Amino acid sequence: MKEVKIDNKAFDSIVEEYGKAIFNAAFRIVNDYEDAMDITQNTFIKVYERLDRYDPSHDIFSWLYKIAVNEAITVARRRSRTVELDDETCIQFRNPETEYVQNETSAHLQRALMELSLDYRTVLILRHFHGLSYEAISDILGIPEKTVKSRLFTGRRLLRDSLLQMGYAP
Amino acid sequence: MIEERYIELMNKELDGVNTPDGSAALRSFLAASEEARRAYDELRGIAGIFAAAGDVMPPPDMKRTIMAAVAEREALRGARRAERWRFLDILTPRMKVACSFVAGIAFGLVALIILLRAMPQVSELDRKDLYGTLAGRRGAGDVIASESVSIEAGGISGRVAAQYRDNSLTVALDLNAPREIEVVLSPAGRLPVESFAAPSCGSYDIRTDAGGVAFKTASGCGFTVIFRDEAGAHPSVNVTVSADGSRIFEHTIVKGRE
Repeated sequence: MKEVKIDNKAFDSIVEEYGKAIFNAAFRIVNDYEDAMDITQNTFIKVYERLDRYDPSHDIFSWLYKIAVNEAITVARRRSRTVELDDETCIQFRNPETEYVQNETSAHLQRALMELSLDYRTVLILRHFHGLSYEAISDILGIPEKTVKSRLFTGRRLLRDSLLQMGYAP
Repeated sequence: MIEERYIELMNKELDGVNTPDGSAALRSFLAASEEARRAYDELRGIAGIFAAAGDVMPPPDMKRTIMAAVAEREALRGARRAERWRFLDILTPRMKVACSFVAGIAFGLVALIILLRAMPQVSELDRKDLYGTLAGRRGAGDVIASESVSIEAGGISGRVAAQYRDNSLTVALDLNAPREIEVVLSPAGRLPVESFAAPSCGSYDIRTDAGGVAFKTASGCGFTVIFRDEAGAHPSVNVTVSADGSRIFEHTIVKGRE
């Protein structure tokens, strides 16, 4: 197959600027490093293919997140099971060779997040890890702002309960 | 038990979207309730945990991997596009020209068929005298009666014919005249004019009113007028021809008499 060189500065800067954030969002939703990488890759492939159709009057950040979060939700649903963080997985977090989660707090939080349903988890991740407004979350998930608030408030309560059950007091 | 509205105020305060009044109400409530203060501290603790958790580090070569994947996909799409048109490679240049020619002919035929279907249907009278004019379908239909009169007067010759149909009256004149003439057609019963055509006349002047049609031409020619006869009255038609201000011919055509 003929080798193709991607020579698109706009696309290059989008990957540079948003790659890490998209990867983080994907990882927090699916809780799998490889899947998160696949989701990030697929997101940017779709972005590249649709770049000529992108409307610059819209926030590129929301556009990227919309694609990435939808990809992540699809993957999470396809797996159709909550990833159980057994001891082995927890060890993986602390393995220096694969130390992609920065600290123990992060591991506890991730475990508690995975106890929540996908709806609550996604809203909490977008609000707290990415600092998105109710309006932006509503746009990305395609749900009313009222639902965003409701899921966020309930999600926080459930997350607190989950953390307390793990003996990790907020 | 904390009221739902205060829980909402706590969450909004945490998200920085509270109104000044909401913030004030929350502060008062927190000052008065230890349970509320504890719940609010727990909520803030949740936010603090997110902040302390930090980012997950992606693979260091993530960008390179993504760019390579995009390039690979792009190459695949290019290959598929090329595959789609590969059949053209087996054609010689002459065959390609021949195919283009055949495709052009086929396209032309289809366009012609569409145009022919879109064209309005024309009646026999339309074909004869009114083709390409505003003549409507009223000129079509069976002829109930035809009357014809010759004109020979003042150096002018020709014929005037009237055709009576169910709901129209067609008057056709064909005149040879060496000078300017004016023809006036006045059907009894003041029939309105449906359409008019003068395909063989050069320049002419025509006036219509409820009483009929006045037609002026520099020399003789043929012209046709269709009057609307909704009631099917089949009235008589008065025909006058004038030249140099003088009437040189007048005749009233009556159905069944000529």
